[in-house]
Amino acid sequence: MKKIAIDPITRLEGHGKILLYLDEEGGLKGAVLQVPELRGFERFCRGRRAEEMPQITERICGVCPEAHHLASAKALDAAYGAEVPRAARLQRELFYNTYIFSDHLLHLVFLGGPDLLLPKDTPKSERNVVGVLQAWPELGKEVVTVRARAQRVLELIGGKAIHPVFALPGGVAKPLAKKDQEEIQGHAQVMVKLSQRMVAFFHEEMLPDPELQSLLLAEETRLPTHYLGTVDEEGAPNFYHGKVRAVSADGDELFQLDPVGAMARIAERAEPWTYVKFPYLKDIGWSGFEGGSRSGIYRVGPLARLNVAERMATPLAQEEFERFLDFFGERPVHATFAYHWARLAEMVQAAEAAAALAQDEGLTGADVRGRLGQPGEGIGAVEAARGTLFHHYRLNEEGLVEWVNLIVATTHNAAGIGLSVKQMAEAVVRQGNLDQELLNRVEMAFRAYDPCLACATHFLPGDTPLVVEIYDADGNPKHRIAR
Amino acid sequence: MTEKLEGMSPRSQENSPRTSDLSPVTHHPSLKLAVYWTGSCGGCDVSFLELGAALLDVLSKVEIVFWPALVDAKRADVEALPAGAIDVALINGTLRTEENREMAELLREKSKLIVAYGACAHLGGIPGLANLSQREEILAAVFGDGFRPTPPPGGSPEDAPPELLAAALPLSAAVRVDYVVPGCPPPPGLISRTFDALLGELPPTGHVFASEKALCEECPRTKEDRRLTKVVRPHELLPDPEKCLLDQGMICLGPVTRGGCDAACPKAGMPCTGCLGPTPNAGDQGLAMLSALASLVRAGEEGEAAFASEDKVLDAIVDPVGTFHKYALPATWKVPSSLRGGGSGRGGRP
Repeated sequence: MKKIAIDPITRLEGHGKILLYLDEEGGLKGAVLQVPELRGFERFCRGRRAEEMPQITERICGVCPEAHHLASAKALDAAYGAEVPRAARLQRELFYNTYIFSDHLLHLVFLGGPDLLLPKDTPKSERNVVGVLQAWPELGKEVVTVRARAQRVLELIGGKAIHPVFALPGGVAKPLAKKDQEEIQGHAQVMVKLSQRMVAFFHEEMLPDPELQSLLLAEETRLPTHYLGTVDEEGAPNFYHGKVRAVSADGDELFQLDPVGAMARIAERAEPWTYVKFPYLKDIGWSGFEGGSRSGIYRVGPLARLNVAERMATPLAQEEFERFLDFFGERPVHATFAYHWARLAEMVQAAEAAAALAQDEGLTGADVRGRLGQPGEGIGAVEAARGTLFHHYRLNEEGLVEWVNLIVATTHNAAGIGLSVKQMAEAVVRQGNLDQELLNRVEMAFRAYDPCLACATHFLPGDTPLVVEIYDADGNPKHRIAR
Repeated sequence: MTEKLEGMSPRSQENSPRTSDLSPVTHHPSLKLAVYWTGSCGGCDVSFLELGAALLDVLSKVEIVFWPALVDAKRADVEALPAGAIDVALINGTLRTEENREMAELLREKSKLIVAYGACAHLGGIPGLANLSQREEILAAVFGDGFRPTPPPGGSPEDAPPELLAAALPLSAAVRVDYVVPGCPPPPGLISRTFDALLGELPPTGHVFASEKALCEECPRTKEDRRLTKVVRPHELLPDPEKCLLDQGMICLGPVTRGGCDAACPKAGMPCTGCLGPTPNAGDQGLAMLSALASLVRAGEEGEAAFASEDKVLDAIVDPVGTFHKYALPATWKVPSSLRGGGSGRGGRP
């Protein structure tokens, strides 16, 4: 048997390697996406001060610290029975939409972008952000500059852009100054402009390309699953708050619940041959590692949010959503590479939402701390860039952490990512000669999800997916994802 | 797909590909650079982007040989390099697995200079709090009892996930470190300073790219009382915006922590938690802070009764380890053998 190792997999957050096992005839016998890292947050969060949790858990991931920071704060709001005052809530929402904009932009240009913005035969040494900046210099420069301005917004509100410090149980650290609000308004306008420019660029320069069309529409990149994401009262995606909605692979609503109720609908699968469990929809049940309407496997993140939404929350994003639906002509959209397009539409909404929030006069209100009750138990959820993120804590009477559970975005998607890598590996192996370009296509399958492997590996006590075994049609183990 | 794009008439001149004269990255590399993460969160990798437009200037002067977060070079590409082929490797993350240590050793061999980048590589970082537990306890908390890394079906033994080290360790526990860029993550000002030095004149070995002085020196808050009469936690008090947080009863590690971040957290209304590490004179950051608190605490009159009341003030400090050693536990506290639980990890001082 021949083994091909892609070590490490690159342009993602976290450590991973892909191992492809081939038989004597060159057919694919197995494909493994292994994550060789673990830091043990599960253990060392116990005993810490509750108010430190937004700062500790954000160190799970430095690409999406804002998501952990606020999911943690919301879990603490609930654990202390606190009502967050409007000014604090506005600060958090403005901060959060700015983060979604910035994180999606990072992936579209720096991480996933090089696969789509450069010729597919680009040498490995140039298939990266430097290559993108050379190929598209003006746009590249604008992206770098505007992203820095978005990060400045995060810093003004959060204290630091990476690993912010501002969220506390029941509110935020301090009121926002008027002059800071004015500065933020300027940055937010520029974020909206860049979003529009990225949309125009996508439709003019990228979408007409047959290569991209085939990635979007090819059968081997289509994966029917259920979808989960958070929506507001009007059914538009909301990153900070709302109801968690699940939609089946056939497009029917499965449930729409608050985070506490939704978390109760998720079960985890233990496999006797593996170390841990896999999330799936409890009501549908587990039927092995397969997609389709009879499987409990679901996906989260940009594509999932657009699939559970009725509409977008802002006008420019709505226009893009309509173009997206027209192109695919089906709902839900099951095309894995549609994650990139959905990410673009969400980036537009996040920028528009941030610009609107930046205008709100309540933003600089002085009342930023809600009254705290006795510490207890609480669940908080946000939509991280990569999908729904749940934090669940139990505190003791001193306000120290006794017990923690998290379900993070990339964990929900682990089964989907494994299936997509397998689909692509099979397609690539069929083409024979496994050169760098073809092997990169296997990596493109996981990059569509913008996975955060540090997130996926560093939480969910007792429940983190560790090894996935994929069965063939006859029920024989065919492929295993170990982490 | 740009094959196709190049055949298309560009919609706008500014968007047309391969117009290198317009390129923000005119590439004249003078420095072969590697960036690697061991047990990390990725925040250090993203921190380079905080340079904004200045990043384009840096990118034009370096050749990125290896950087998994951003470029596609693989481990085998690094292994194929001759010794010393990389000018400088910036390594972030705590050492947590055997693979982390192997990679640190590989990069040491291939690089002229090694920089410990960020609090985890510098001091062990927040994941170093795991050293309060045995490795087996951590594995059990995450995966349940009886966990053993095993290879995938049909895979050979070397395909198993790497073993955890017995303890989380700073980079210097495994390899010789030439420079340190501290912070969680390093603030943009220190990153600029580092690249200025790497592309220009190198400081003496062992240099730490941060202030020699305490963070208090750059904090705009006014210090008046110089005494601590109560201890409050950040969620219990909306602090006065002008006054020293320590004077208001918050445990702020400013007095024992290096400056270099422009007092970002105190300016945001939150106490310093020490991510830039101890000042050159502080030694053990946590112990230094405890002794600072002991000298600041005041309660009631002088004499025996005052001692008892002062103890009471300090009793309000909960989770002292997490508070005083949030980032530096592996660098300051040698893991007792009773906590090591076998394995090949080396606990202890860098």
